[in-house]
Amino acid sequence: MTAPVRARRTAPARPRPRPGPAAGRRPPLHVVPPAPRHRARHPRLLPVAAAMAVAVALLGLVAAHAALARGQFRLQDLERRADAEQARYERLRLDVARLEAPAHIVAVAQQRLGMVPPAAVTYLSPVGPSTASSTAPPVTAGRAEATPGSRDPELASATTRWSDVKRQLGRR
Amino acid sequence: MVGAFVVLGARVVQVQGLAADRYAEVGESQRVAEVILPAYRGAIFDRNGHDLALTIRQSSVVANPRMVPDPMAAAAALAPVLDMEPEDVRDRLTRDQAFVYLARTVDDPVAEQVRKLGVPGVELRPEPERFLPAGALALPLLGKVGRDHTGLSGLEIQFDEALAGQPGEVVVERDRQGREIPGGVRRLDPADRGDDLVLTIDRSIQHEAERSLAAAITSSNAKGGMAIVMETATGEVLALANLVAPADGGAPVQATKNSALTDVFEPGSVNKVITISGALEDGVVAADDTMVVPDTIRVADKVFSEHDPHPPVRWSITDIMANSSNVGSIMIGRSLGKERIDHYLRSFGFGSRTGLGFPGESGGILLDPKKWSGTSIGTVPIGQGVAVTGMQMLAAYNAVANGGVYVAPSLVRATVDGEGRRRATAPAARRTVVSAGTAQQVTAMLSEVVRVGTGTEAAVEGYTVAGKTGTARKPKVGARGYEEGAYVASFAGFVPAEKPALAVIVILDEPTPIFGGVVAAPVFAQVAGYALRILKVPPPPARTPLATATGVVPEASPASARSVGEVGDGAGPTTTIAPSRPPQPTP
Repeated sequence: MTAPVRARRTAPARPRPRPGPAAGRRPPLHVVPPAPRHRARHPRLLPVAAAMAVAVALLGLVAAHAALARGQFRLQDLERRADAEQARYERLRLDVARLEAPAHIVAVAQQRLGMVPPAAVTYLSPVGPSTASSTAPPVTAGRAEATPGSRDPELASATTRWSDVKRQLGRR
Repeated sequence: MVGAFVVLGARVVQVQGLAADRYAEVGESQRVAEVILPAYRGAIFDRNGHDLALTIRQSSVVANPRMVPDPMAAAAALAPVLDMEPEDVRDRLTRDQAFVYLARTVDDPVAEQVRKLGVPGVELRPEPERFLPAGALALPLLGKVGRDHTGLSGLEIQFDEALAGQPGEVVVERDRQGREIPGGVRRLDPADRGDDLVLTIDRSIQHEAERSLAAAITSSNAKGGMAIVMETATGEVLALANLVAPADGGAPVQATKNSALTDVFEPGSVNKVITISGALEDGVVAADDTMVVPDTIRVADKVFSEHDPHPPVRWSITDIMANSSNVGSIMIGRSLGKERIDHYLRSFGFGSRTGLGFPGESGGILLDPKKWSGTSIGTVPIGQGVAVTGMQMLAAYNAVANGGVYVAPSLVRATVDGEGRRRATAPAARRTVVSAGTAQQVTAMLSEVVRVGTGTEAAVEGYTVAGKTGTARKPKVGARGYEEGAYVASFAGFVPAEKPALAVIVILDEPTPIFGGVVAAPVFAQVAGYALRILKVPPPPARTPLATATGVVPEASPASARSVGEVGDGAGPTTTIAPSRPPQPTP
C-alpha cells in the first residue's frame, strides 16, 4: 500500500482515487500531533526575579547609604582628631613659649641652679706673635695699648700673644 | 470608621500637600544648625620668632538650663570645680534660657573635671583665649584685648584689623544627638586666621632693659622710668620699657601706657646735642673753637647759671659739651639764632610724630619761634621750654650716631598671613639732618662726656660710648613754672662710638639723687653692655680718644649744685642740670 500522497503547496490538488486497498484492511489512523511550540518551563519565575531585583536594588541603596554614613562618621572622627591634635599643638606651643620666657629662665637659673648675673664682663683681645718684641707683657683685660713701630696698627695695638693667653698653644 | 479615614485622609492632604513647605521648613530648622567659626587672632612675635602674644582655644563651660534635669545637684557638683558659689551656678542653671555661660575659657584640668562629671545639659565649647607667655613683658607696647578679642590698646589696637582675621561659618544638618546627618546639608566657609606680627623687639634685650630699669627705679626711689634701645642703622626698636613704682610700694610694675611714645618731658641738657650740632653744621662755631665761659649769663630779665660755680674759663666746644655747660650752650645758641635752632629741632624730629602710628603718640611741643619770649633763647638751647617724647630724643641721638642721617623708628618688621606669606614693612624713612663730618665731630665730643665728663658712669668696658647726661626740672601741671625739687634724670647715647650699632636712652622720673649722670647713666651701661653681647657686636680695636676735653671739670658734690630762682614770670625759669667736676683754672 502506498502512503497517501501529500498535497502540493503550490496548488490544491484534487484528490486522486487511490488504488483500492487490499480487501478487508484499513490503514492505521492516528491523530497528527500538533506542531511543537515554545512553552515556559517555570511560569512563576518572572515576578519573583523582578521582586528580587527590586530588593537587591533597595539593599544596594541601603548599603550605599550605610557606606556614606560610615564615611561621614569617619570623616567627623578624623576632623575631631585633627581638631584635638591642633588644640594639643596650641597648648604645647604655649607651654614652650612660657618655658622660654626670659623671666622663667632667669628664675630657674637663679633659684634652682644658683647662678648670678655677672658683675662685670671683661673682653680679652689676644693677637698673633708680635714682630716688634719676643717678650710681650702678659694679657690684660680690657683695651690693649698700641705698640709703636708695627706695620699693622690693629695687630700693633695689642701686646699679647696666644702663648700668653693659651699657654698650651705656646708649645706648638 | 469611614469618617475616621476621611479625617485622616484630609489631614494627609493638608500636611503633605497644602502645608508641605511649611512643615519641611520647620523640620529643617530643627536639624540645620549654623555655627559661627571664630577667627583665631594672629600672634605677635619678637624679631627672633618667639611668641609674645598668641591665641589658643580653651574650653568654656556652657549649659542649656532647659535640659538640666536637676539644677540643684548640678550646681553642687559644678561649683567647687569651677571655683564659684553654688548659688551663682544654680541661678544660671535655673534661667529660662537655652544658653548660658557658667565659666569662660577655663584651664584644661578644670575642663577635664567638668567633662568627667557628665552633667546633662552642660557641655564644653572651645573658644579662643589670648595669652602672654612672657608674662607682662613689654605689656604697654603690646597692649591688651577685650573679652570679645578686639584690641583695646597698644599694638593690639593699632593692628586690630590685621590681627583679627575673618570669622567663618559652617551649616550642617544634625540629629538629636548632635551628629551630622550623612548626605545632609553641609556648607563650610572656613575662618580666616588673623595675620601675625613680627616686631623689631628682641625679647632678651627687652627683659634686661626692664630688669635694669626696675632696679634703678627702686634704688633711686623714682616714680617711674623708661628705657629704649634702637638699632642705629635701621631705626628698629630692640627694647621699649615703661615702668612705674606702685603708690603703695613694692617692685616697679608695667606702666598702664607706653609713656615713651605718649608722654612728653622737658629734656634738659640732653638737648644740647641739637644746639651744638646745628652750630657746627651752620659754621657758627668750629670744633676747635674756644670761648671764655662765665659762671652766669643774663638773657632778657633772667640770669642763667652753671650747675657748679666756676670762675670764667676758656673752654673748647668739646669742653662745653663734656661739662654740660649751660652758659656755654646758651652762648652758642645765641650765635646760632632762634630760627636756626628751631630748624634743627624740627629736623631732628621734634615737634612731629615719628610715623610709628602708635595710638596716643605725642608729637611733642615746640613753640613757634615767632612766639618765643625774650628768655626762650636761653631756655631752649639747654632743653627747657621744649617738650619731647623719649622716642623723639633717642631718634635724634641716633641720627648723630648714623652719620647725620635721621632714621625713622620702627616697631614692626613684618606681617605673616594665614598662608604663611611674610610681608616686610617698608624701609624706614630717612633724611640727612647734618653732614657726616658734623656728626663725627659731635660724636667725638659726646665720647668725651663719657670718658671724662658728666657721663662716666655710662662707660661700657671694652667699648667707647658717646652720650649726654640730662637733669631737667619738671613743669608744674596746670600752672606756670616748675615743680620745686622735681627733676627728670636722663642719659642718651650710642655705642660703639667708632661705628655705632646701638642707641639707648634712659629716663627716670623724680629719682634721688636727681642727676642723670648718677642714676640714668649706669642703666645705660648695663643695658647697652648686655645688648652688645646679645647681638655679638665685638669691641673695636683700641684707639686714641676721638677728641680730648682739656677743661675737665672735677666731680662736684650734690650740695654744690645750685639753681637760680625764678626772676619774674617768664616762660622759661632757670634750671639746674647734671653735676660736673669743679672747674680748672683757665690756662
